[in-house]
Amino acid sequence: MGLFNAMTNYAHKSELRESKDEIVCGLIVAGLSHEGWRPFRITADADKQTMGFKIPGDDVLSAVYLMVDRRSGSGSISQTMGSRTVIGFTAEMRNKVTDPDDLAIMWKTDFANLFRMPVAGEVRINHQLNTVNARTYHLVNLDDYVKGATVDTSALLPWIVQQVNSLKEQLRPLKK
Amino acid sequence: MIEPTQPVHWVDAGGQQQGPAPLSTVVDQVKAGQLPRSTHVWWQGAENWTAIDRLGLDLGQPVAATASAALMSGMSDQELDDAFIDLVGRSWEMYKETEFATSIDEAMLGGVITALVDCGFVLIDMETASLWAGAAGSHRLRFEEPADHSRVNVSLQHLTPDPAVAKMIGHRASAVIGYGQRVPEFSKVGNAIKQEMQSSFIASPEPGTVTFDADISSGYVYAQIDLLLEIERYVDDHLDVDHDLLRRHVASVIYTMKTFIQARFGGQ
Repeated sequence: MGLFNAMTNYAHKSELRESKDEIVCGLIVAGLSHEGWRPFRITADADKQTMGFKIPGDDVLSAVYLMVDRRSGSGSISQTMGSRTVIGFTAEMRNKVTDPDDLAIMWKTDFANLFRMPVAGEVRINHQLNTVNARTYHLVNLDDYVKGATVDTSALLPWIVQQVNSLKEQLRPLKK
Repeated sequence: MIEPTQPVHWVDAGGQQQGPAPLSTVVDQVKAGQLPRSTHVWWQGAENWTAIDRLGLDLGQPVAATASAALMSGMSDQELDDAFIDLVGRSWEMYKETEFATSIDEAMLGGVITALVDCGFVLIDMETASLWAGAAGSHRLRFEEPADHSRVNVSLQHLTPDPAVAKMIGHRASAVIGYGQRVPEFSKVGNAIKQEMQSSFIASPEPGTVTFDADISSGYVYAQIDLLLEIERYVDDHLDVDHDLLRRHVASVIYTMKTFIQARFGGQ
């Protein structure tokens, strides 16, 4: 009986350790919902979660997407390296009409982006017909925010809002 | 009032004076689009040349010089612009209706997360449909209460993502909501697994079916129930979620599932 309990305790702790990214995602969804953002897209696979939000009344953005992609693997690797995670931000803007001249310029920019190495913190503008996306990503250590099952969102949520606002200003001149 | 038989002179497109001919002849040419509606005419006794469209005559509908002009006849540039903007705007509205129809279930999912996290649960697992075969459009969430490690599972599948169907019967979802707790005795977990084997033979559970599940690696047993939910009760047209109603409904299910678990495996 004791061995069974020890095994299940170990498995439980391991599960919680592996759940740091989900724990953070839960707090992000709840925290941003209280900011008035409306979650409308939630997808997840083994290591990557994407959350999409609408921001009612925003004059530029049609949607915002946050991607949490855990990179440091599991078990002993996580314990030694910490929970290295990429948080990606995509701010999406839609123009109602795009003319062919706009598309030619957009494809030129997007083509040039193909050959650029992604750098953390760098902002990239990508176009998809009427939709223009500004993206950036940052490498963070989730252990800075998650202690056991407790998450300190006092710094995390304002930082997320700040990142989105920064992307929004990149898109504003392209808004028609 | 000038009579149709009145002989008049007119100026043709090349600026040359023509006539005399009865006014009705010139009017016919204007109606046929052979002369512009601004053609100037003069007749014996008139003080000046006058544009024919100022004489109050029936010149018929304007006839355009080209097919494009004919297409746009009767509309000012502003009216053409307004009609175009209106069409594009309506297209976006319809596009957004489709987008809304495929988003409303995930808005509800966000509402479930917010409602439970606000109560102190932590989200520990999240999966979407493509990972499990035959359940496209499904989402599965697992929460844990930090104090006693009990768990809440919520699975949601949008049954009416098509806007036309949703308009007919509303947005509906099938949901499985479960409560789990750790059971410290191997034999009890084994017993739960046996019951889960029995329930796994139910291919399409009806609403209200309570089943048991067990995770032997972490020692959890779960009681869960199948329900059908009307998503629009919780999420409005602007994706605003009624978190309190969601909390109340999830709470009522968890309360009952907890009773099932504790009756069989004891409390924590």
